[in-house]
Amino acid sequence: MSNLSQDMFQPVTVAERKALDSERIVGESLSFWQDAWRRLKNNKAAMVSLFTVIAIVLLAIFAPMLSSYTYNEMNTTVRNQAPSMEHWLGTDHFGRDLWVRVWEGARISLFIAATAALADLLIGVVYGVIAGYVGGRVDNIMMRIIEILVGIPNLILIILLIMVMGAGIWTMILAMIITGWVNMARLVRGQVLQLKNQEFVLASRTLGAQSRRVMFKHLIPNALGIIIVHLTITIPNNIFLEAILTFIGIGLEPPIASWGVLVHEGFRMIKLYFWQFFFPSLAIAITTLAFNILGDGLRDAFDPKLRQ
Amino acid sequence: MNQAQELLKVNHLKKYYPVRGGVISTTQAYVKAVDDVSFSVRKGETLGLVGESGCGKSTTGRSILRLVEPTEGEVLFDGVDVTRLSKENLRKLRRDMQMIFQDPYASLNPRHTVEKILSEPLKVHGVSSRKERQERVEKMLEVVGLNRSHAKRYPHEFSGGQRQRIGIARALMLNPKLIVADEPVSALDVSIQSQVLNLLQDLQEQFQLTYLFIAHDLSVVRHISDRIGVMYLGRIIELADRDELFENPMHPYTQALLSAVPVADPDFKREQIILQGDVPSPANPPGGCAFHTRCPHVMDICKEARPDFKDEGNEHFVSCHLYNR
Repeated sequence: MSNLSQDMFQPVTVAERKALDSERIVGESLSFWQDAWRRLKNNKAAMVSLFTVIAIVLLAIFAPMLSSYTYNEMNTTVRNQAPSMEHWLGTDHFGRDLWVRVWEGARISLFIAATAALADLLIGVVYGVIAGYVGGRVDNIMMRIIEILVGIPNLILIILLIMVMGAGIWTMILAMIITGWVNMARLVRGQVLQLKNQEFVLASRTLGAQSRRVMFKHLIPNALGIIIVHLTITIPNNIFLEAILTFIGIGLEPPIASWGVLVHEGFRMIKLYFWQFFFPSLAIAITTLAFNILGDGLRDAFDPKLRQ
Repeated sequence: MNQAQELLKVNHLKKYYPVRGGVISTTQAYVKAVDDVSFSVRKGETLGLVGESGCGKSTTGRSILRLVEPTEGEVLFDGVDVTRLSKENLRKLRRDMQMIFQDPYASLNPRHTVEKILSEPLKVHGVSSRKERQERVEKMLEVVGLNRSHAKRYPHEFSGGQRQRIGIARALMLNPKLIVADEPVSALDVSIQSQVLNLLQDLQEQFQLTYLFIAHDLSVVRHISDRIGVMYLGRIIELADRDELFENPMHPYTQALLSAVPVADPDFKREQIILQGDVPSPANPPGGCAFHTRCPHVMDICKEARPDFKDEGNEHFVSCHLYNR
C-alpha cells in the first residue's frame, strides 16, 4: 500500500466519463430459450436422453418402412426364432419379425401418449389460465369441479369408459385425457396466480391491454417452461398407463401391436422364448427413462434456481 | 389555486378488502387499506405521498388507475370520474394516466425484448405501422438515456437503474398527462436513485408531466415534490407545501416522522420523538383519530371523533384535534 501516493489518483472528468460509455452492454444477447438451451447442453444425462428420444421417434417412423418385413406378416416356417441376422430381435409364435413389431409398437404407443398429452395441454392450459386469471367465484367453482373429478378413482373411470366405448386406440386416448388434464389445469392455475400480480402484468393492464392479450403475451409465455416440463413427464406416464392397462387385459387387443400388446403376448412365452417379452419391455423402459431424465433436465434448464 | 388547474381530484376514496372466513366463507371483517382519502393534484406539479409500509400509499395509487377497484369515492381525472368509466372508455383514458412501478426486476416481462416491451402500449392503442413503432421506441430509449442498440436486448441484461429507465420509457410511450410513480427508486442503489430522480424531473419539464409520487423515503420526497401528503393507516393526515411541511409540521405523527430523518452532521443534536407501540392493524383500526393510540398529545376527544381534514391557513391541511379550537 505504501507505494500508492496521492498524486497517482485523479478524478474522472465529465468528458472522460462520457467516453467510458457506461451504458454499453458487452455480453451476447440471449433470449430465454437460448439461455435454457445453453444450460440443457451442459447437462450430459439430459442430452443423452434427448438424443435417445429423437432416435426412438426416428426409428418408430422409419424402421418399419426400411425393413423387408411388415408387423402383421405371418410366416409359420420361422416361428419363435431367436435373434439372428435375418430377424434382429427374433420372431414371435406366428413368425412375425419382432424388430418391426417393436417399432410399430413405438408408433402406436407414442401416438397415444403424445396425442393424449397434447390434448391435456390444450384443455388444461385454457382451463387453468381462465380459473387463475379471472379468479374469485369462477375460480372457486372451476376448482371444485376439478376436486370432484380427482375424487373418482382413475381406474374405475377408465374401466367404465372401456366398457361403454369398447377397447381401442381412441378410447385409450380419451381415458388418458380425462384423467390427465386436471393435473395440467392445476399446475397452470398455480403459475397464473403467481404471475398475475407481478408488476409486468399490472403494467400491461395499466397500458390498457385486454385480458386476451395479457393471457397470451404475458401469462402463458411465462408459464410455458413448466408446461413443457409437465408435458415431457406426462408422455412416459401415458406410455406406461397404456402398457399396464393392456397387460392386465383391459386395454388394447391384437391385432393392434402397441407396446402393451407386445409385452402381454411375450409374457405368455417368457419361460421358453424370453426375448419376446424382453425387447418390448426394454423399449418401454428406455423410452420412459429417457423422457423422465429429459424432463428433469428441462426443469433445471428453465428454472436454474430450483436445482440444488 | 382555482379548480381548472387540478388535473386529478380524489374525493373520499375508500378501498376495503373483505376478510373472509368460516365454513361458507362469509365476510368477517374488512381491511381498510384506504379509508376516506381526499386530495388533488395540480397540473404540472409533483405531489408526494409518504407513509410507513402498509399505510395504503400504493393501494391509493392503484385505485386511482383502477388496477384495484375502489370500494367507494370518486377519482376525477380532467373532470371525468374514472371510477364510473366503462371498460372501453377506461382503456382509452389509460393513455393519459400511466404508472411507474417499484420493482424494476418484476415490472418487465422477462420473455420480451425491450423493443417488444416498449411497443406494447403502441400496439394496444392501435399504432399498427411497424416502422412508426420502431422509431418511437428508439426515440424514447434515447430520451431516458439508453441507446437504440438496447432495443434488441432482454430485461435481464440490464442493471436495476437501466431497467427502471425502461419502465419509465414504457410509461411515457403514450404521452400521458399524469404519472403515478409507486416507489420508483426505493428498489435502487442510492447512487442510482439520484440519477433516476433527476431523469424524472427532466422529463417532467420536457413533457409537462404531473406526478403522483409515492415513497417512504422522506429525503427523496423532499427532493422531488412540490407538495407532500402524509398518510397513516389509510388516511391522509397532513397535506402541505413541501417547505411548509418540513419547516412547520403540524400533525404529531408528521413531527415524529420528520424528527427521525437523519442529518449529515455529527454535531447536530436534536430531539427525536420516539413513538410508542406499533401501527395498529388496518383490519381493526382504532376509533376516532387513527393515531390516538400512539400520539404523545392524545386528548379525550381523539378517541371518540375522527378529526376533520381542514385547511389551517397557507393551504396547509391537517387532520388533528389539537388545532380544532
